Amino acid sequence: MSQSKQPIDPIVPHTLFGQLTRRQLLTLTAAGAAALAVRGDIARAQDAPSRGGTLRAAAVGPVTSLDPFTSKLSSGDQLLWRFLYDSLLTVTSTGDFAPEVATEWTVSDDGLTYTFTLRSDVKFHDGTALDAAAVKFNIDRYRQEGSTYPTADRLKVIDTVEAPDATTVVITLKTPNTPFLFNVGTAGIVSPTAVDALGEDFSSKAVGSGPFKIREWTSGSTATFDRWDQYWVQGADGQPLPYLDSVELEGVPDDSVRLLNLRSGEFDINERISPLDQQTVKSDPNITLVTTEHATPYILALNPTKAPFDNKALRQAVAASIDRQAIIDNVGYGTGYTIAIPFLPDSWFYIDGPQAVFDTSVATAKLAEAGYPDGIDITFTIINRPTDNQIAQIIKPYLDAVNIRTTIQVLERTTWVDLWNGRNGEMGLLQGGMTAQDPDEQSGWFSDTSLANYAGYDSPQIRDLIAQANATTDQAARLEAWKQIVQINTDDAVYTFIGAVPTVAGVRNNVAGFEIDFGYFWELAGVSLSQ
Amino acid sequence: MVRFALQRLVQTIPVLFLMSAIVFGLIFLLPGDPVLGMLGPGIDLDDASVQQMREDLHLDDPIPVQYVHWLGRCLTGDFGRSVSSKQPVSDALRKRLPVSIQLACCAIFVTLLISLPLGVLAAAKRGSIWDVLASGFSVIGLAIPGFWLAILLVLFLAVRHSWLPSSGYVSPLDSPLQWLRYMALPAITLGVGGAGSLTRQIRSSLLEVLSEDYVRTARAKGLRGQTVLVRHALRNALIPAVTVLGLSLGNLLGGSLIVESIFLVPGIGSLLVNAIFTRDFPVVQAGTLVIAVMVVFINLAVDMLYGILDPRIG
Amino acid sequence: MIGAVIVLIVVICALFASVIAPENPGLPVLTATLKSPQSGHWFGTDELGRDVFGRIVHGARVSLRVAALAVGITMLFGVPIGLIAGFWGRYVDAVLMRLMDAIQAFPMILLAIAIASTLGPGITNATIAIGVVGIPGVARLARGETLRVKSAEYVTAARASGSGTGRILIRHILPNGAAPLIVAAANGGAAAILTEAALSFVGLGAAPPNPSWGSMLQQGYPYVSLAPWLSIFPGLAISLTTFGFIFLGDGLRDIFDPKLRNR
Repeated sequence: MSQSKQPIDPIVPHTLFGQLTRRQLLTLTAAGAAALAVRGDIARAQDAPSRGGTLRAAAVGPVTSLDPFTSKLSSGDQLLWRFLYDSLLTVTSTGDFAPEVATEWTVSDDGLTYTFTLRSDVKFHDGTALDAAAVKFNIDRYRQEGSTYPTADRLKVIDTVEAPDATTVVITLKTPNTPFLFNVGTAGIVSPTAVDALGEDFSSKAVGSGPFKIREWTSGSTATFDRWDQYWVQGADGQPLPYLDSVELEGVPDDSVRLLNLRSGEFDINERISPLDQQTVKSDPNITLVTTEHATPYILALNPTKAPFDNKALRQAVAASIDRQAIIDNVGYGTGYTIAIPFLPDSWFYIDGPQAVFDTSVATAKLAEAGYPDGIDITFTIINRPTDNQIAQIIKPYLDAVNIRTTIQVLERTTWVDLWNGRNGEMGLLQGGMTAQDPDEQSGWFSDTSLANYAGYDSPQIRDLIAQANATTDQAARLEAWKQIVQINTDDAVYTFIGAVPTVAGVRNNVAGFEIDFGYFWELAGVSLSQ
Repeated sequence: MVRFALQRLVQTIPVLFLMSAIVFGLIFLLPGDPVLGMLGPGIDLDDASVQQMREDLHLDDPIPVQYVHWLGRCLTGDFGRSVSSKQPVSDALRKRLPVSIQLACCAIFVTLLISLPLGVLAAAKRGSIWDVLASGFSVIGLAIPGFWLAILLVLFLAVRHSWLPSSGYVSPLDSPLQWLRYMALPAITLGVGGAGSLTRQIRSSLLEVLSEDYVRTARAKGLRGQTVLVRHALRNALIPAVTVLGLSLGNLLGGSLIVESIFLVPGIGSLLVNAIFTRDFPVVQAGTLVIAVMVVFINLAVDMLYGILDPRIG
Repeated sequence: MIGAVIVLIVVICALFASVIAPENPGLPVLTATLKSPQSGHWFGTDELGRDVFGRIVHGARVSLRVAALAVGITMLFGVPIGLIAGFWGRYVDAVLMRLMDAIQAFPMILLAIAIASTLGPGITNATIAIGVVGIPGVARLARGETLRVKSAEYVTAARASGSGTGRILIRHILPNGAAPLIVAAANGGAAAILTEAALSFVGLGAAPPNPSWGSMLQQGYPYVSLAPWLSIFPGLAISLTTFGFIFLGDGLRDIFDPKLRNR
């Protein structure tokens, strides 16, 4: 489908990405009005925001680095990127792109050349200007050889990046890539001057251009951010955003501790409230539950690169022997659902099947077919987290029942990751993330370069289909490609997607203007606290 | 006295060396390349800058040489950089050590608050119901796992009633009152555990002293029971108690590991626990070394104190 | 001798667990999750519907096994070290005792966690870690006893008559110095139970679904406000068992004490 060379109107929803499907509102202003996720717009949607105050937020995953380049992609990190950094674009609550540092952008007919026009009034916290050279520096840094940027492989499609003048960035791709705009557009932009000056210390003293700057952070403790008074976005009162004086962010992996502190007022925002606790919180008059376009999928992984799970029939035996519905009912307490692939039911690309079928006779037959009529002993490695523990203990009896004798081994996350990245795992359990932004978000499972492919699943067929899906802008064609991917994946049974539990956040009622956007980023620029 | 002090000091030095060797050697218990332990997994071993790092840290030298270099760096305060956060370990230590020390002091306060009256009471009214209660309580204090006590305290004081915060920390410089509130539960948890052994010690040494000759003499002279108790017996009985207190500081620092993790106190204990689990060896080595050295010097100080207090020594 | 009674109860639980609580303690019953204590489930059920009482009874097995093996390791290494140090004296003594000092300088939990975590999760490694951290204490005790007994008459006599060192150690010193060591074993059992619980609590002990009291506390903590029984009963079990061992140790010490006094 050819496309004339027109600027993509930033605000009007366009057919490239995102049909407007029904969505639940994500804002919390007293008026309850929907607001666009452009920072200024949320901010201006409030009538008389009160300035000042410190917002304290608790994320699930700890802060591992302030620099996206060295981040381990924990939720604490991802959340704070929007405090510290601007990006070229943002995503609204309905999945559309809106301008941020880039005021407009165009794509060439062949889908290979992207041209961004930048604002000229954006400054980094260290006073240097955010210009095209800075953008080029950032993109080159993220996509370099040996990059530690967590989604670096998504930027490998870039051929060249040029900055012909201070407000223009031109990126050419090797092949057309539909998700590219999201990947490059939402990357945080850091100050090149600071990176050069601080070296390794940059990950704890990061410098961006966002509404907040870092005051202090040491690993394992709270990250404290101060308002940056030279931010380029105006608030409703004509003064620069943000309204808050400071923000504190802490990673608290323990669900009940996070909740306890939300209820007692120690935290104003809790990134995630567990399904069981949601029922209790519903009756708390001080807290509002916020449904998000985000869920946590649980995945069973089998290592196909070595015995015994290089045997497809054996993998299928495993997939057929567990009752995924029972598992997700237990950990989701009624809010969870089984999945064929981590796509949100709300998204335009939702695919509900084929899913693995629970059938012990099939499992036994497959076992025999695989050459293990007397069963087999396997090791099941999981990460030391309560939900993983729970799921593993439910799975084990199912496997034992068909003579797949399972021994559970609990490892710390680092050790588990090392084990699986080194291709030495046998059977493992992991969690992921899913938003409604783009199906390509889940391509990491099948990639040959991404560290997210813990099992080492190598399917050239699937990779071709992904490349096909990314090269076209036709939604129907993309959906078709992904349907085939799901079919192959379920048949291969390397990754068995068990189910997903929707993420529900909790916010105290004295917080106004809080918004979680489509990419699951928090927008705090427009947040104000009432007393 | 001075000679005694010097003697003890000299004895401590080989212990310190051995300890540092043990801490250093821990990394070699790991299956796999210890270099990964120091520099972190996911690094490209062929990368030139990584090679440089290996040379600077002498990671390819024979083990004894490595140890000497590592020790040298530690003595100058260079504990390397954390594998996960890339920040200098000494920064983290500097920030977190005072917090743990504050917690330890509060815990000792709690311990003394409980043990002194209980121990004295138990000894003074030996055989009575008070004695039994006190003894029973002190054994309970010894038997209860600290983390269970922490959970119970959270359950009854934070969940059911919200009187005290269940986690966190506020610097005393920012708000003394809040600092106290946040310290309360972790300090009580740690303090009760230590109170168990201290109560028993106070009681038994007080009993022993009370039956000593000079006490009987004092009584015979007609001094009232209470004077005898306070002036003579207590002072002498406190001597071994001081030793126990000092030794329990070691347990306190150890117990702080789990208590700090549960109550999210940003001290050296929670730093260590996280580092151990994420295999962040530079932090593990530095933190363990610091704690162990502190324990050694506390023991030394206790010994000195013992020497001063007890006229029979030194 | 309440202590002996308590320990006996725990031992019986461990040995006859499958009789007292015949249901498989690791099997989830997904329809009966998080039930509060009631008839049929005296201690309630956990997040996977498993009977807490049954898990606690089976957990006794885990705890006792770890305690016994760990104390065994401690004694196996601690006693000979102490004997050798006490008997040979001088340099051997100095070196060995400095080494023991160095190990003892580390807070026990810290060392246990560090060792167990480095070796890897699992109950075997946890047992090793617990056993190792107890060695210095026992060694010191054995050394003390050796020193005390070394100068006794019967030892001098044995030496004079030409008995070899090993013989003297085993036939004379050990039996006479055994009393405090037995007490130490009881106290060591208490410490082992506590340490195993602590290690399991942070995820280093028994792997699921093996019911260890410590891991039961760990898994129950997220439900502390909704299902407090998950946090109360395992802790009670740990405390009572430790309590029992301590009292046992006290009682044993009282038995041996007059004997010591009479020497």
